[in-house]
Amino acid sequence: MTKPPEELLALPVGPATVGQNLRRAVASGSLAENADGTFTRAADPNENPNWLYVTNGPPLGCGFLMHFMFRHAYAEAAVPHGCSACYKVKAVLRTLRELVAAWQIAKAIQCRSKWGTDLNNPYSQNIYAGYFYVAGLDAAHALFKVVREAFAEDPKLGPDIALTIKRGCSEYEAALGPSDRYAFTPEMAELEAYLKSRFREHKADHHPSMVVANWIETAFRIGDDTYLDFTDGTRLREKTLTYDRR
Amino acid sequence: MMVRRRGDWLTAKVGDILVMMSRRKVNHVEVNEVGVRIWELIETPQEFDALCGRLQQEYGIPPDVCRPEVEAFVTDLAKRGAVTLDPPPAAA
Repeated sequence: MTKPPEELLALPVGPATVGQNLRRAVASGSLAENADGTFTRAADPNENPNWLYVTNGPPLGCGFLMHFMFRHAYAEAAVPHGCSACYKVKAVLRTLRELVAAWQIAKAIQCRSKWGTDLNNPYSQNIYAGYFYVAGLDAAHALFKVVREAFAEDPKLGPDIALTIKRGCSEYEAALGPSDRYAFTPEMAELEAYLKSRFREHKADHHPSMVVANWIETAFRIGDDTYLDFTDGTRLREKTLTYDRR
Repeated sequence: MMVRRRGDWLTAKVGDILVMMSRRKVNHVEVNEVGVRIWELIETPQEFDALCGRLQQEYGIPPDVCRPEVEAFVTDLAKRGAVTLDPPPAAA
């Protein structure tokens, strides 16, 4: 039987209850509570249009799970139950040429994925990356093999592209330690189902053209001249004249 | 109205996504195939009516659809500094 909302919101997570965390988030302006009792995330000024999404599969609900439950309801003291089965096959690409080739291959793989620049991710040391999202470690291993073979056959990628399997978001491990130690309870699942009905998704309006323009800007700035593949060889900006040599 | 390129822009195609990017500033314009064709055609300044006529011919677009869309596109480019829209040269 479903518990009443006040009992669900009294769930202690870390030093506070979920209800206390939500009240604090609303008071700070990170969350808005609407007249109908739903919550909306405030727009994130640091949100950058770096990613293009391949939507081969049902939505994952990351906006609710990571940006609402983890950041606000749990105040980074617990990993959402809804993320318990989330594994990612991460591809690290070295150039824009590789990124675009991998993204094109991903469109033919029946799995949700995202592709872009990882420079604004404080937990990543990579410039370009792609993430496939799968449910369960077995599925991740199976997909890993599919991706490895598909990349190996592509002349722009080959067999040496770095692939790894990770669990959930890096933010979770940064806050809570190694991902093999996460704890999930049935009460969390019940709470998340209740709060899902009170969550209104904030959708950022990022046009794909803005994302690819950012990719090209990034490639140019880091000296990755493979962006010239996509501009018919035209340089984004010419080098300035220098006077150091006599 | 004469449509004339201004500034220094490039076109890029990444996957199936087309974009025009300023080579001087961080600025871009989302374009489609016809937009890229317009950019190619105005490498030589074009009179607006002639530009529309060419596109109608190449893409089979009806004039009542083509003209307002091309006008909106080149006006947007003008706002971003990618083209100038000048009165046609006076007849001799």
